[in-house]
Amino acid sequence: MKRLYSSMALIALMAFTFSGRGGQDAMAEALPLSQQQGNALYLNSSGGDTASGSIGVSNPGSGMVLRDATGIDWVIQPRPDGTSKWTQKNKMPVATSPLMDDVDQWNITGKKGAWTFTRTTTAMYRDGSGNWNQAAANAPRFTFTNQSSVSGFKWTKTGYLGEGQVTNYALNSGTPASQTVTLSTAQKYRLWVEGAGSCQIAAGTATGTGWGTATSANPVTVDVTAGGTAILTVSGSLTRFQLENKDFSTSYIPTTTVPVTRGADKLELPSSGMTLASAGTVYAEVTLEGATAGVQPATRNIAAFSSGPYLLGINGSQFRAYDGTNVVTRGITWTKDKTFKVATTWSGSSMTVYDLANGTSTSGPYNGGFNGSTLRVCGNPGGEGCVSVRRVLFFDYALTQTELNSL
Amino acid sequence: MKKIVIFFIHAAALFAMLEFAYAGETRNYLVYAGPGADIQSYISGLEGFDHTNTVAGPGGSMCWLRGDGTPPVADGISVLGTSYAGVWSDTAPRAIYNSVFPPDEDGNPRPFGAFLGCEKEMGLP
Repeated sequence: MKRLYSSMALIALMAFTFSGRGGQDAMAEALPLSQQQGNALYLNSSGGDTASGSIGVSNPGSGMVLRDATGIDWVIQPRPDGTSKWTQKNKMPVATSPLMDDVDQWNITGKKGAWTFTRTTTAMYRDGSGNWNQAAANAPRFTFTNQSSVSGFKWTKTGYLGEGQVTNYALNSGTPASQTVTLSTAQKYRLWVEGAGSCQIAAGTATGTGWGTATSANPVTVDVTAGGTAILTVSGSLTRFQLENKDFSTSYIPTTTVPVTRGADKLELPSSGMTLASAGTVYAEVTLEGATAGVQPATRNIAAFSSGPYLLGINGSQFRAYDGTNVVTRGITWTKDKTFKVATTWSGSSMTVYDLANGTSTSGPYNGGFNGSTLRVCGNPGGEGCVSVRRVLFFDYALTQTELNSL
Repeated sequence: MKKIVIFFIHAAALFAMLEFAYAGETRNYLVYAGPGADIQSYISGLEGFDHTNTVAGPGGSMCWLRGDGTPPVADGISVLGTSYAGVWSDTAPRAIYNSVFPPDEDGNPRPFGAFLGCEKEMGLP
């Protein structure tokens, strides 16, 4: 790295020299090379122009390339936070998900590059002040999370918000009042509220477990074992409430006189041009549960093939990978609203799931099953989703833990 | 009974017409499963379509689907219409609707679910 910095300094010096009168002759020699498409101008450590020297400037289309003394080419890789870092040219990601954009950077067809996004309905997301805003149908959401409890920063941009289809059964959700709701399907339901008051959920004709009282800090999860009615009793002042057919909280779904359903987010990328089956890496930075939820996450995928296998997913207190036959899991203790860095690598007959925040990993067998034609970020064929994902990188080789930590 | 049979003939024709007319467009479909059909199995893993909450009654069960193109055909599953107003204004589908989700005390059909941002498109206030 020291050599790289020396090389960078040399480039700056050369640029300065070229800009002056004394550099005119050297520039006249250099420019024709640097402007040839596909060629690079390499300069040796003495500043001379050679084809196989130490540093170089490539054509404008591929940016600047530095070649170190061992012959490895390095390029500048932009990062989502606006900074850049040097990366080996042959170790660049094969795909980087556009997860930190603003909605208006996507055109109305929901496309950006090779990525496509669809959602059949409108949906809500948090802005930088913590207010709920509405995104149009087929417009991806880039949300903010209150991370004051984990980082000291309040509303922090935590990236793309991907969720499955969800129905809010609480009526007039913007003016919470006591009511009886019908939960006809036996499954788990989550009740969360906003405001200083609380909302109790109790069995009507439905039966189940987990009945209780939700506050803004503590949502309630009910496991309904036989469908029927449930009774919501509001106490104090609430500004919003949501009773949804999931065992985790999702973004706000405004209702009036009937239960309302938000469609599933679907962010996809064709993977047919990538060679991921034999070896690869997926790296992600995920934030769970948003600003309104509890701690324990449910099953959800971060990166998956639309055909079924998932490269990186969550199941309760585990990260995991599934190649269609084998499952490898890595246990983790969640912190609400904290951003976690996680990864899966695979090569040959082995795959490894990493919890990079805690420096732990688990390895297991791999059968070559990561060979689907479409990659999907947050979501699986059943429409399940996850919460916010700041960054997902795909590589066609297995990174080491050291390399993962440097991303 | 005759009305019901006629309805199913019309429903089959409606499937074909919808497939032609709405290919590639995002639409709402009120799907109905008769007493012998399982709507949960039908919507489970239905790729390309979102679904609302389901309601069930003596006449069967139903829910709304939203997606591109037309929903896949399945045994015992039919499309009642594409909006509340459309379904309620036609005698046969209205009778089926009311057999699944009872009307109010005045006999007026009641809505049971909607997609976010699509309420007006579905015929709700």
